[in-house]
Amino acid sequence: MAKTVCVVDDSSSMRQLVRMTLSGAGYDILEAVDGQDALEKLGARRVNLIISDVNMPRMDGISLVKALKQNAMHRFTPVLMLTTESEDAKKREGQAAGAKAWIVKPFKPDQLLAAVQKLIM
Amino acid sequence: MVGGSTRKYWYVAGIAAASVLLVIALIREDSWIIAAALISGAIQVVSAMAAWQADVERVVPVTSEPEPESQPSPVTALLDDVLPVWSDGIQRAREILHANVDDLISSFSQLVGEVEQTLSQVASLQSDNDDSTVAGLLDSTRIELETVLEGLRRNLVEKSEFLTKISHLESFTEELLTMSTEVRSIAGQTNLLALNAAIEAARAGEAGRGFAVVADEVRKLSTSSGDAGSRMTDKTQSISAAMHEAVAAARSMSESDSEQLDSMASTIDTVLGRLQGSLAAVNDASRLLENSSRQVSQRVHRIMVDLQFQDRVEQILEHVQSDLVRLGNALRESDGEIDRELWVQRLRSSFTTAEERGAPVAEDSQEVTFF
Repeated sequence: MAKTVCVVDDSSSMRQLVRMTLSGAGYDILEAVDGQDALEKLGARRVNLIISDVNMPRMDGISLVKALKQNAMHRFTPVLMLTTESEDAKKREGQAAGAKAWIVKPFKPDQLLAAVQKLIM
Repeated sequence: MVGGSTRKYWYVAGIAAASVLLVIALIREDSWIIAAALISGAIQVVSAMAAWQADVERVVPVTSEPEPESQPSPVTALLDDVLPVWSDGIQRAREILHANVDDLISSFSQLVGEVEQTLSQVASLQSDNDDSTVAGLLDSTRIELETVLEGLRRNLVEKSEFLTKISHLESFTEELLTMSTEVRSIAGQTNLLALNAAIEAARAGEAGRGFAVVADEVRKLSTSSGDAGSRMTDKTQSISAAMHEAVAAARSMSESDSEQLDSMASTIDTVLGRLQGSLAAVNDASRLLENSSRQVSQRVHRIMVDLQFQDRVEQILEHVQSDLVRLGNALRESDGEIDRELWVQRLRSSFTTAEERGAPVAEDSQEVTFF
């Protein structure tokens, strides 16, 4: 059964590019436009990984990770932050919230795929 | 506004007083009082109308004039007008960028999907016909055909040995002919001997009568032997001729078979050689295709990295746009009294991309940070 990755980004072009990278490798994709939308769409649906942007309207990526850690269903789902933010302080904030990895945009497809495989393993 | 309203009440009171004077004058029939009241009333009405008009104009904003003390500076007024236009322009640019890049990525994604499907089909064909499989198939085909040819060659050799044996039989027919000639010769001599015996028997008279019978029988036997010898010669000659023809025909067939076999071997060599050449060309083409598919894949990845520019440009434009709106609000509230240093510091702190911070964009050195 194909593994599912939830992609959270307010940029539709980024969502499309992540989808292109992962669906080619056989992953199913669930898209959300921000943290709030992700929480609504995830609901009781279990996914294998969440890839999230940091700066988004309504609910940002760090808040999303914090909310997921409070959710019994998604507490242990790994989260990969994919963002333009490259500051160490921001990365530490993500790590403290519970994110498992951090990739600074623009991402390289091979690199993203390798990170996804490592996190889902 | 308060002064205007007060004036209006005074005017109304004036009109009312003039009306009262007019009524009294009419009752008293004093003409001078009537004239004074009319003039006073007319003045009050005109004044009241003018005051009313002034109030109405003050209430309607189009014709109202701002208070001199609240007028902004010319630069603030200009920026107040221009900033929304700039913001709208940036918004439109963002919308155009967003829509076009989305379409571009969508088409690109579809194109890449089609190319990948074609390449995977080619790769599947290649794995079915890879070098070792094709070479192995050709080798085993060559070996099988060589086995068939070897079998045919063995048949030819056996046929040749058989022909040699048949040819050897031909020499026996020569001996048979000699023997049948000898039989005829012996039969002739026996006949002559029997004839002499018959003469001698006749000369012996009555005593030789029995011998004459024997001599006659011997002569008949020798005649039969001579006939048998002649028939043997005829048959042997017929057999010899038939055998000679058969051997000649078989030899001719054998030579033809040998030529055909050589021709078959040569044809097989040619066909297999051509097949090998074609397969080598196909393999070369496959390797070329494999190389170009690797290059296509690398280029696709490169383009995917480049296409992510929209996300960063969008963020930069969004920061500029929101700062323009904030600047407009701040100018309206403070009329140009803004702490520039603090403003720039706050603006810089909102930056999220390396480009905004003026840092070089790392293209190939981006690492994944695992926590």
